[in-house]
Amino acid sequence: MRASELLGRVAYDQEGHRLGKIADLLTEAGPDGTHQLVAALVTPGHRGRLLGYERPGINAPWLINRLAAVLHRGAREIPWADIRLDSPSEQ
Amino acid sequence: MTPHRHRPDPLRVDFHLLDRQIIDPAGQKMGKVDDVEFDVDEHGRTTITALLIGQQPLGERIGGRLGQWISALAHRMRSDSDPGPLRIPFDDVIEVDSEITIGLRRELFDTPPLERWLRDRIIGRIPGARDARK
Amino acid sequence: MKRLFAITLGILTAIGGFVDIGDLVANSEAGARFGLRLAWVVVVGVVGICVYAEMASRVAAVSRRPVFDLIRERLGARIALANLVGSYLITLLTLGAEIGGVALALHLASSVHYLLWVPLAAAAVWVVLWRVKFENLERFFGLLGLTLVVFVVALFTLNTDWARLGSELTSGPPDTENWATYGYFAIALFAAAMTPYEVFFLSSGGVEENWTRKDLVTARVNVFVGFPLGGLLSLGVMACAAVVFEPLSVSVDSIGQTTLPVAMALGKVGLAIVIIGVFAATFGAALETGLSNGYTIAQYFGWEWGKRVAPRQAARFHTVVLTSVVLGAALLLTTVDPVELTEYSLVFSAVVLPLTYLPILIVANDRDYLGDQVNGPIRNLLGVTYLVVILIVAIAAIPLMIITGAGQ
Repeated sequence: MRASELLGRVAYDQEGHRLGKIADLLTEAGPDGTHQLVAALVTPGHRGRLLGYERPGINAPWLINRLAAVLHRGAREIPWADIRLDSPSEQ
Repeated sequence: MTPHRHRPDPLRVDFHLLDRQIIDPAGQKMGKVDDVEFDVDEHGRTTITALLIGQQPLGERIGGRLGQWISALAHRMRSDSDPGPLRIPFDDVIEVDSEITIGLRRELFDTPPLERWLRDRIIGRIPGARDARK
Repeated sequence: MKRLFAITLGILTAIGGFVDIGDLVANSEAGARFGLRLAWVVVVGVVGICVYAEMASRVAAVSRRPVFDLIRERLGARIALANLVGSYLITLLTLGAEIGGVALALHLASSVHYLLWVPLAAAAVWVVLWRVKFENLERFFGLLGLTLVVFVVALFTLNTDWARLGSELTSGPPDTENWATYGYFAIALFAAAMTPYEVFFLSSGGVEENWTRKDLVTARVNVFVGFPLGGLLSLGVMACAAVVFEPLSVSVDSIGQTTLPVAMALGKVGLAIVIIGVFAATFGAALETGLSNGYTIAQYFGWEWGKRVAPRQAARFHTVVLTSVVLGAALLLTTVDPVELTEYSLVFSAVVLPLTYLPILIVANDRDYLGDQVNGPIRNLLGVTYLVVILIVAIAAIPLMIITGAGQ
């Protein structure tokens, strides 16, 4: 499976409610060194690269920061276990 | 003994990996991360297995007409012996920073088909092709 | 002492390398029709390119990577692809225009038809790109371009009505023109000063030359001293056209006319010098745009690029450069008028400007690449202000081109 198959897809919660689109995939290193998918960054609206403004380290110029914040408000991290990629109505 | 590694934690696939430049230990450019390969085991654990470099995965990821054009270009360059996009096992990734450094030298990988074809047919045949002009 | 010499050399190279066919065409046409009324646009444009060239230089020196290389990482593959397509096509148009300029300069020198010079000029551009050391490329053509100072000299030798010129600096359009043509030529002048390839070339060149933080001072001096003085050369071209053509209500549409004031002021010697200047400016710019075409595509895909590795190791990059030069020449061989081609390249550059400059502003603010060398508040204020100007220019360009019939 490839990242491109997951990114941009609509994510649903376990009850089938639409959460938004997957904007990023968060992984953590396990004891054996492999990186496991633990969570997804989900945005209700625009999916794009988010211009990188959601991280610390870049917050200027102010105008673009505000623009990015407006475009991408509501982005939040959701544990991968709580996410489904198909809604119950599709079954 | 595994070499010392530096990887951000948590590692974000889109932000830290995708579209980043990959370089070998000598600083030679491998390409950019065009896609990332996952493996899903029977328990549903999804792990990162490899980085993929190639016009075809890039084109498929971009989508749209331009994306199709890019992957078609790659597809046409494929020969029967060519296994597809360059695949770098994630274990060989040493450092994930503004560039991704891998532990294997570029010479260990096949030259990308487009590069090889152009080098052999066109650029390599022009006098002076072996000289760097710093 | 050696350092002073190196710095001076850098400044002189920057001055001589500033002017290209776009500046020659836009400034002489504007000078003929508007006198010095649009001189302020050149000043605005020069400040703009200084602001962004400094950012691009800083990115190259601190992150050790060219600014275009970082756009795909920062903005994603899709947006960067749109950026790539726009930038590549514009730079290709510009490359065609520059090769056309070389051919026109050779035509002026020899009276052999410019079309016959096109293949030769293109081949020469490519051979120089193939064989000559990067640093020597820049040095030689940059210094040779200093001969364009002959426009300024001519200004003082001609019967210049300084009072009239001075009064024009702050006037609106003359009776023979209207605000639409005023705006159209303003956009052309602005686009000529802020052509995207300048920034890509500067940034990639800095990496080719292995700039580090220690080179920041030199890079900044080159930009802040060299570019404004280069802008002065552009204004020299505009002023000469204003002195010679404006009173006669003659408009400029050929390079021969652009160089005429110098010939009038300084005779055959002046003409010879100015032809050398035009040749150096256009040939140098053709080299830069040819390389920039290679840089943009190679850096998007992550291929090996540049002259520091043997061509065999960067076959895709060199193929793109070769193909671009061939395409540029082919464009000219369709017998499109090189001056018209230049005008179109300027207008379309104007449209694409936001796409190329916004990412630079974003990258210059990223601590992951620049650490503590990110933009301060003043640079960001300037950067954002110019981005707004660039946006306005981009939106107005095509409508104005249509309204004025490309400046008729």
